[in-house]
Amino acid sequence: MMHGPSGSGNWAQDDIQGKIYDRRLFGKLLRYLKPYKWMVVVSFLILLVITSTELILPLITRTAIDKYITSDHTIAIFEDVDSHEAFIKRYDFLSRDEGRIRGRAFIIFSTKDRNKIDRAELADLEERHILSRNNIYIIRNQEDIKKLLNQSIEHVLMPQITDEGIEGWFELDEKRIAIDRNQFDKLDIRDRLKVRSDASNNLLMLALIFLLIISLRMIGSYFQAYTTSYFSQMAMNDLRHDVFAHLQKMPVKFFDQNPVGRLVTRVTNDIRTIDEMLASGVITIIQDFILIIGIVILLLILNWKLALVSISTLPLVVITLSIYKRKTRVIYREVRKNLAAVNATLAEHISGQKIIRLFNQYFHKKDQFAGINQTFFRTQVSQLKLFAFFRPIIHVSSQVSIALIIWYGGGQILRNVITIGLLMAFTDYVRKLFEPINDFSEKFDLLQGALAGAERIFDLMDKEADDYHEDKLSHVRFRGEIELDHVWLAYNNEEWVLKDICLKIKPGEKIALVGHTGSGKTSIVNMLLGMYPYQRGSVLIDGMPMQDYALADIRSNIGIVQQDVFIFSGNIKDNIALNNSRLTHESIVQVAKYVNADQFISHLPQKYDEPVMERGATLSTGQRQLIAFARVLAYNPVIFILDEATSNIDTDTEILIQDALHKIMQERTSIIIAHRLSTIQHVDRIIVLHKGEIVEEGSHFDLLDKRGLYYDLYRLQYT
Amino acid sequence: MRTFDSVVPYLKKSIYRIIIGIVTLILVDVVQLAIPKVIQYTIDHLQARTIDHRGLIWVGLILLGLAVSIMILRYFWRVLIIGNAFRIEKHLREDFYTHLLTLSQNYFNRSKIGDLMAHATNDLNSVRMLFGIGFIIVSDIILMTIATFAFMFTINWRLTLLAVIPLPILSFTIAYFGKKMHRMFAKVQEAFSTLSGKVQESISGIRVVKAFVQEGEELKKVDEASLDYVRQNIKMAQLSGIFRPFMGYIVSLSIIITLYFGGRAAIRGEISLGGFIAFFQYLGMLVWPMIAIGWIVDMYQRGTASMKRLNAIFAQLPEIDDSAADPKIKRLEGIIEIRNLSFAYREDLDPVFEDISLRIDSGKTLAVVGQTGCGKTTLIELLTRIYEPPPGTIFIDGFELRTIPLNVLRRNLIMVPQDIFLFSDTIANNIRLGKPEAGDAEVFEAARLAQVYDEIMEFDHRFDTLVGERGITLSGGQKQRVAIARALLTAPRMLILDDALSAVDTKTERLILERLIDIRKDLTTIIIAHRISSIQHADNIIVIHKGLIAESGSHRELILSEGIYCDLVEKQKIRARLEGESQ
Repeated sequence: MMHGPSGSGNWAQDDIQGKIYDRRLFGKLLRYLKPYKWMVVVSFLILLVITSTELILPLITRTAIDKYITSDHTIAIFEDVDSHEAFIKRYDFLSRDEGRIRGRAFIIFSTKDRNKIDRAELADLEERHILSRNNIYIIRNQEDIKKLLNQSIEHVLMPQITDEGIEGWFELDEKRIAIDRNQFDKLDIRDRLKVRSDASNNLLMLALIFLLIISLRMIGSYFQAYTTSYFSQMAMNDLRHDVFAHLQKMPVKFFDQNPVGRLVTRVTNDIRTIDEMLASGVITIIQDFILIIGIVILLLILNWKLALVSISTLPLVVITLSIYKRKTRVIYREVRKNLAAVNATLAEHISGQKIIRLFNQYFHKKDQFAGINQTFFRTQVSQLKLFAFFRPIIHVSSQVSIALIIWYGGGQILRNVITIGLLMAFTDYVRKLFEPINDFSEKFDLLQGALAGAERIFDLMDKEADDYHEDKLSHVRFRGEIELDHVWLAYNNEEWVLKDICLKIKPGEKIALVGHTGSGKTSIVNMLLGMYPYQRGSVLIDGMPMQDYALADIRSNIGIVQQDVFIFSGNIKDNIALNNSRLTHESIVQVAKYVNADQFISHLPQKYDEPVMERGATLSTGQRQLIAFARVLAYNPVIFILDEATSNIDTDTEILIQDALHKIMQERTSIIIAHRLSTIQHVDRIIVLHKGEIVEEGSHFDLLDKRGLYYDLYRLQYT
Repeated sequence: MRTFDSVVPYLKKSIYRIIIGIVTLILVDVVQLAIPKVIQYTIDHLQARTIDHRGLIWVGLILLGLAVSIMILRYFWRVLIIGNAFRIEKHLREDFYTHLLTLSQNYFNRSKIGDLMAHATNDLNSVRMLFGIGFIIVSDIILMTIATFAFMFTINWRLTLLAVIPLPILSFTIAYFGKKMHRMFAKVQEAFSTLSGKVQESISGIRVVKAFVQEGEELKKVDEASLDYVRQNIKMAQLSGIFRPFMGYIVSLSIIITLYFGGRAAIRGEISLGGFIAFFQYLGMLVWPMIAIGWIVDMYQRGTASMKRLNAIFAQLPEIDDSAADPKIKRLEGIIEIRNLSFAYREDLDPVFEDISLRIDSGKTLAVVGQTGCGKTTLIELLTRIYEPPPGTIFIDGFELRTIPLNVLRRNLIMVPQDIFLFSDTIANNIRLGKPEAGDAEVFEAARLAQVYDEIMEFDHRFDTLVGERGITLSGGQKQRVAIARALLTAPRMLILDDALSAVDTKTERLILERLIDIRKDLTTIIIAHRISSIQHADNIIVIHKGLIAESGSHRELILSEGIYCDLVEKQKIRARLEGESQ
C-alpha cells in the first residue's frame, strides 16, 4: 500500500473567492421557493410589521417626554384685536387651539406649529410679550385642583407675559387651566402628580400601548421565524430530494471519479448553507435594509436639518468600513492560509509520525511546526489588531453623531425649535441606524458562501445522468440468454479493457470467468448490469439489444454477489430483504435456511433482528457472503452473477458456501468470477480472459490438458 | 491534576498583559458609564435654559473625547486579552504537537487522525474562547453590572429597584432556553448526521443499489431522513423564534416600567428629565451583561470539557522511551541478534512469532521472504522499536535493544517502510529528511543511487518540485525510489528495506540492487521482498511461515531443498509470464 501525504488535504481550506453569481443561479433557487410563495409573502408582510414597530417605539418615548412629562405648548395672548387678526390672516394654515380670556384672544401652539412661524416674526412676538418664551402645562379645570394650586400659586385672572414667562395660574375656559412650567415647580412635590393626573393617566396609556406593540412584535417575530423556517426548509427539502434522485442516476463512472465524501457534501452541507442563508441571512439583510431606509426617511420627516446633521457621519463610516473590509480580506486570507498550513502540517506529521520517528527527526520537525504555529499566531494577532482598531469605529461614529445631535439639537431646543423628546428620539434612531451596518458585509459573505454551494449543487444537477430507458419498462422476465458480439469497452477513451469479446451463454448455462488481475472479468459483469457503457459491438439479452430494455428490467433479472459484499446499516433481515417489503419474515428465514445462512444468524443474540454496523464490520467475510446469497435468492433473478471473494474463508463456512452456491446456480444462467477450484468445478464452461481478450475456452480438464494460460493460472491461484 | 493546570504557566507568564488588560477594561466601563451622565447634565440644563451654545460645543467635544477614548481603550484590551488567548492557544497547540509525537505506534493505531485533528481545532478553539471572550464577559458582567447599578441608584433607588425586576428573568430565560436550545441543537445535529449517514451509505453502496434496482427505495429513505431533519430544524426555529423575541420583550418590560414610573417621578420632579433619560441609557447598558450571563455558563462548560479532553491526551505516556537506556552506548557496529523471540500484538491475539532466533553479522545481507501477513514487517518494527519487543530477545552489538538510546538506534538503523510517506514538501527536502543539513550534491548522489535522479530532473522544478496535493503526484515506483534515496543519504550502519521495491520495474530494481550491494559491502542490510529476483544475492535468506523460520540458507541451498522457497520461486515465474510483456 502506498501512502502519499494523505490527510493534509482535508485540513487545507480553500480561499473564499469574491465571485459574482449570475441571475440564473438565483432563478434556479427561486424556482424551489415557488410552491411556498404565499408563505414567503406572509413572512415578508410580518417582517414589515416588525420593522415598523422598531420605528414606532422611540416615538412613544418621545411623546411621553414632550407631551406628558414636560409640555411642548406655548401660549400667545393678543392684547389688541388688530394684531390678532393680522396674525390669523398670515398663519391661517396653522392648526391652532384658540379662545378668549376676558375678551383677549389667545392661541396655544405646539412646537411643531410654532416652527412654522417666520423666525423674525417669532422673535418679534416674543419681544412684544405676546408669545411666551416658556412652555405651559394645561391642566383640567377642577375644584380640587384649583384648591391645591391656590395653596402655593397665585390665581391670576388676566395672565401677563414677561421675559420670565407668566406669573401665577389662570383659567383658559371652563375645562382647562394653564400654568407656566416655572410656576408649576412652586407646587409641593406631593401635589404635583395630583394636579397633573391627566398627564399621569396618559403616561399609563402610552405604557400600555408600548406593551401592546412589543407583544405584537413578539408574536409577529415568532410567526415570522416559523414561516421563514418553514418555507426555506421545505424548499430545501425539495431540492435535496431532486439532488439525491439525480445523483443516484449518475453513471457508475462518476462515482469512481468522485469521492463519496464530496458527493455527500452536495446533498447535505451545501444545501444546509442555503437554508441557513434563506432563514437567517437574507431575511435579516432585508430587515436591516428596510430599517435603515425607514429610519432615514423618518428622521427627515421629523426634522430634516437635524436629520442631515445626524447622518452626516454615515458616509465616513461607509468609507472607513470599506477600507477595513479591503484590509481585512487580505489578512483574513492570510489567516486562513496559515491556519490551513498549521492544520495540514499537524495532520501530516501525525500521519507521518512513524517515519519522523524512524529517521530520528522529532526535534527537527517539532521546530518546523513551532515555526508555522508562530507564523499563524502572528497573523492572528495582526488580524486582531486590525479588528480592534476598526471595530469600535461604528460605535464611535454613532457616539459622534450623538454628540452632533446634542450640540446642534441642543441649540435648536434653546431656540424652542425642537423639543427634548425629539432630541432623544433622534439619539435612539441613530443608535439603531448604526447597529446593522457592521453586520452587512458579514451577511453578504454568508450569502456568497451559500451561493457558492448552490453553484456546486446546480453544476451537479446539470451533469448528465444515465438514461434509465424508463419508457421501456415492461417487467419482463428473461429466459436468460446472453450474447456478446464483438464488444469493446474502455473506461477512458481508447484504453480498451475489453477487446472484441464474443461470447454466447445459453439460458441456464453456468460459466466461469478466469483470468489474472486486470484481464477484464469484472468489466464484463459490470457491463451486463449496465453500469458502464460499451463503445463497440452489441450485447443481446434474449436476442434483443440491451438498449431496448429499461435498465430496471435488466437489473431486476440479474442478481449479483459482489466481491466485497456491501452491508447496509440496519439489521440482518433488512440486509436480506433490501427494502422489499413484500417479503415476510417467514420467507426471509426460508431463503436464509436454503443458502445455509440461517445457521449463524440463529446463533446471533437477536437473530434476524440483530443490528449490523455500517459495512458489516461485525460479520466475517464468509458470513457476509452467505447474507449476499440470501439477498440474491430473495431477489429471485434469472441470471446469477458471483464475483467471488479472494480472501480466505474458514473451511466450515467454505463448505456451506459451496453448497449454497450449487443450489442458487440451479436453473439459472450463472456467471462466476472464480477464485476457488471447487467453484470452477461446478460450471459447464470456463472462459479464460487475458488483457481484455478471450484466450481459452472449455472445461476444466480440457484446459488443463492444453497447458496454456489456464494451466498457469491454475497453478498460481488454485494450488 | 486540575483541569486548567496546563494553562496556568502561560497565564503566569503573561500576568502583566492580563492585569493591564483588566485595568483598561475597567476604564472603558467607567468612560461608557460617564456618557449618560454628560447627557443628563446637558438635558437638565437645556430644560432650565441654563446652558448656552458655547456650553453645548463643550458638551459635544466631551462626548467626542469620551468616544475616542473608548475606541483607544477598547483597542488595548482587545489586543491584550484576546491576543493573550491566542498566545495560550498557540502554546497549547505546540504542547499538543510535542506531546503527540512522543507517543508510541500503539497509540496511533488506536486513534483516528480525524479525532486528533478535532482536538487540535475544536477543543483548542473553545479553550481559547474561554480565556479570551469568556474572560472579558466575566469581567464585564461583574464590573458593568455593579457600576451601572450604582449609577442608577444615584438617580433614583426606588425606580432602579422597580426597573430591574424583569432583568433577572432574562438570565433565567437564557439559562432555561439555552439548555433547551442546546438540546434542540443536538437533535438537529443528530438528524443531520442521520441524514448524512444515510446519504453516505446510499452513495457508498450505489453499485448494490443500482444492481438491485433500489434507487426508489433508497430515495424514500433519504427523503424520510431529510424530512425529519427539516422537522427538527423547524422546531428549532420555533424555539429560537420564541427565545430571541422573548429576550427583547423582557428588556422592553423594563423600559415600560421606567417609562411609566420614571415618567411619574419626573412629573413630580423627583428626578430631573435628564435623570429620566440617563436612566434609560443605563438600563440599556445592563441588558448586555444579563444576556452574557447566559452565554458564559455555556462557554465555561465547553471550555472545561475541551480542556479535559486535551488533558486526557496529555496524560498519555509514551510506551517506548529511554528509561532503560545506557547513555554510554554511542555507536553501533551492526551485529543483530534475535534470541527466542515470541510476540503477540495483544494478549488476546494469536502470537505472530513463536521462538524465533537468528543472527546477522556486521556487513552481511539478510533477506526475509514469506507470505503476506506472515510477520515480516512485524519483525522489522520490533527491531526498530516501533513496537516494544519482549525483554531479552533482541540485541544489537550484544546490547539489549532497550539499553540502546533511541536516537543512537535510529541514527544507525534506518528503515524504508512498506507504506511510503512523503511530506508535501520539495523532493529534495523529502530526501533530506534524515539529514536536514545535507547539501544538494549529496541529495543528488542519493537520488542517483536510487535510480530516480533522471526522472526528477525531468520535472519542471527538478528537485524543488513539490510532492503531494499541491504539487505533482509521483508514481508508486518513484515514491519508493525517493524513499530509498532518503534512506541511502543517511548511510546508516544498518539498513532495512521493507518490500521497498515492489512498484519498481524489474530492470530498475536490478540496477538499484547492484549499486546497493556495492556501496553496502561492509554494512548490515536487511531486505524484505516479495520478488525473489531482488534477494538472490543475499548472504542469507530466511523464509517465515506460520510464525516460525521455516527455511534458511542461500538462494541455491533453498532451491535445492524444494520447500516453500522453491514453490515461491516457481509461482513467481508464472506470474512474471502472465504479466508478461507489460514490463
